[in-house]
Amino acid sequence: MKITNSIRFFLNIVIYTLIVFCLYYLYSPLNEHPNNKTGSSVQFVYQQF
Amino acid sequence: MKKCFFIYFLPLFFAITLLVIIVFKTNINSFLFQPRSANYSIDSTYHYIENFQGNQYYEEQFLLSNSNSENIFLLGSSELGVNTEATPYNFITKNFKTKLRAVGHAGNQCFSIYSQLLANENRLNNAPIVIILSPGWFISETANGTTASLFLEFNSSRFLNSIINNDSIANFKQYEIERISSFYDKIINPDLSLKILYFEKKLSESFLHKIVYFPFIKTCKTLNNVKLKLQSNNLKIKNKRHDRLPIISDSFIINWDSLFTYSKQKQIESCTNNNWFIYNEYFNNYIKGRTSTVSIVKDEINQELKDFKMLVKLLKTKKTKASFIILPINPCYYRNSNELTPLIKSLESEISLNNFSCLSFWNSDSTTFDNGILTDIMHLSSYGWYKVDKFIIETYNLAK
Amino acid sequence: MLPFSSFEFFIIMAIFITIIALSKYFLKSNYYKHLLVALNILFLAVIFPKPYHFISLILFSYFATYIISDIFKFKNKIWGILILLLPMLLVKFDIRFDFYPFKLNNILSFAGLSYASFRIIGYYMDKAPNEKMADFVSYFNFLSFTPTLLIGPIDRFGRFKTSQDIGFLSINSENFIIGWNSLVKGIAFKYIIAELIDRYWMSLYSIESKEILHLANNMYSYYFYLFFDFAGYSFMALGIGKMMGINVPINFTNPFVAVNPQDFWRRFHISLGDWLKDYFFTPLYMFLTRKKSLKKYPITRQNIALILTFLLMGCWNGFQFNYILSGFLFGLFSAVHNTYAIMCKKKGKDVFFGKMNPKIVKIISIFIMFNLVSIALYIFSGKCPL
Repeated sequence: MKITNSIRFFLNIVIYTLIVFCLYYLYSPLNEHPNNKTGSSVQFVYQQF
Repeated sequence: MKKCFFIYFLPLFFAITLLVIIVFKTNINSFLFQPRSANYSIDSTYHYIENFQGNQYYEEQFLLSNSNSENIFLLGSSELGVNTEATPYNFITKNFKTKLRAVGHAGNQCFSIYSQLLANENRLNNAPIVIILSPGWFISETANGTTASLFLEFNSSRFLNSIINNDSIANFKQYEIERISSFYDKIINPDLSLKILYFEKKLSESFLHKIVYFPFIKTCKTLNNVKLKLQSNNLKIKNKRHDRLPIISDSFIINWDSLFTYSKQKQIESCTNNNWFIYNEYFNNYIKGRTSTVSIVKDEINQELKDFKMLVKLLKTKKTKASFIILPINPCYYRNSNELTPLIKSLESEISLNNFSCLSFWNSDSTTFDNGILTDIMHLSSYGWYKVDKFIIETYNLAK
Repeated sequence: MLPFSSFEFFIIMAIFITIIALSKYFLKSNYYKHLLVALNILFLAVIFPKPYHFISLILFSYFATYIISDIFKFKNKIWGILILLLPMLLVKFDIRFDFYPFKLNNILSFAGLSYASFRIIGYYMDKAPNEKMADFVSYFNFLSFTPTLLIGPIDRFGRFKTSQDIGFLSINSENFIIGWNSLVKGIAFKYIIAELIDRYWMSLYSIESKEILHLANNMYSYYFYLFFDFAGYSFMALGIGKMMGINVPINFTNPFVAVNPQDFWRRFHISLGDWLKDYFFTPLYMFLTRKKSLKKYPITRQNIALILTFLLMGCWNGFQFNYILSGFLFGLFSAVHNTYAIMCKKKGKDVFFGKMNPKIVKIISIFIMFNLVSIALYIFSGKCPL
């Protein structure tokens, strides 16, 4: 099925809203989640210094 | 270009606008991010706190007196985990009206302590604080100073915000900023308070840095204010001055000689499979007859030494009633412990130059070493702790 | 601030993309590389934590390559490789030369050193003996291109240079959309999916627990976490690169459906797999082929080369037991599959599955490969309590 521009437009609204809200929930400095820990999420990068 | 705008930017703009509306509706924010309920057990008669991580109650009590008696705060690292009857937070708290509270575990080194004290600088005046210095902090890798992860265990956003918002401590704050910047890149998802301190350091580097970092620091500060507003009032940093209570001297006679003789005898009896006075189990599991050496770090590149000097300076400036205890290391196990003597001497002289009391157990000579003072290779035995108890009781006049 | 470490990085990248896009209308196309070098230097100097260290490495590698290949003209490339790898080897082996006020190890260890070393070696290996040295600006851009600065993908100089030469021309709405979609995909992978796995799946059970179900949970969750985290990085680098006018190679294409080790390395960290194949496996295999004692054993030669290649990959992450063992396991999987594939070819039939339905064979292969990779990566993580 060919995705028309208008479908893509509404699809993007949904996807971006979802992403933006997820990012806000996970990374908002206002969110003091107990699992907001350090040293784990980019550990893989640090292994390769 | 038109396609880009309508299909990609417009939906993004819509999503961000929706988010911004929600961010500035604090009631929605409060609903999403309610302040964490206490999921830890609070013991109001606590004596030993391993760390402050996620424990705002203990943070609030740090360096405060009890309602009817003074608290002496004992700050140190791994040795505090040796929980015996003789350990000061048991011995003194049990026997005296003045209580003693200990804070710290392995790795709580000078900069971590410095930062905790700086965050509570309004409570430092006349505060009775005893700091246990471990020689292990000043050798090999640990001489690089407090690690990032340990720093975060003891210095939450609450403490760091207190440093950010206090301009009366400019030169000490500058040192804090410099040190945080040195390990900032090891921290993932840094808290806003850490970001602000790091950006402040970056801001001062050049004109170019100023242009780049100025908008970032402004954004962080705005968000930080929103965050502080969100936190309920009882969790806010209390900057008001806390008056200290006088230390009560109890009429209490302790027969130190018999305590020393008994505890020393006990310790020596627990070391039958070696003549280094290390308790049997530890010797069997970890030492197995092997010796080791300490890796000396030159003073010029010893970050821990620099942190120690700043800590002493802070204690002096803030007129604390501080005292220090310098631990020994087992000279039989560490063959070259004498090479560490110059550094320990410099610690002792720094302490005495600033008129603080000091109890130094340091002795690198295995022939004159007070055997039984350590339980393993660097932690105090009950005999050692009784000596510490005596020092604290005499220094702070706990007994008449 | 390290690349991709906080939202401020993305703001800086947005500014860089805007500058490049606007410059297209003011600058001639051959000035693209100069604009790029200015932006890369700005990033290193103002944002990156150890700017002098990285710039020193670029200078060292450029002049060392020039001296080795153009002045001394070493015939055996191994010496050149060792000289160029020296900074990284000193860090990996933790060899220290501390002389006040300098701590050599501190000077050498900085974020991105490993990936830069890979690219440096790639350039040196690709450079023909009589080929002129690359111009310094392009070389600098190749090593310091901001989106790939920290963890790749490991680009080749030739590719990068071609892309850089048509930099301004590549900046158009079509490429912008491709880049943008890739960036969004990367963000969703790394910052949402990987983070959700980390917070809510990986932390379900203690990493010390030895119960079989807990072990399985921790093993699978780590594989998914690692993929989404790392693939997320690569997609973001690709996306930002594309928007800045540089084609960054694709690094991941659904490794979960790989049917064998060879297929897996064509889908997982592709740029590393290609790098190892071209610069280590092939020369090593050629070297072993020349050995008289191994002449009669072509399969053994291939398998030795495979195992050694993956051992090197393990060692590259650090000289710790878990990295070396996981590298060895990946090598072993490849060697076993290689032997199996050759046997099938010789006998003209599948020696293991026989005449089983190919669709079922594929499903079984995917299942086996998925679990083998999960085990090897679980060991790699250092979180396996066994």
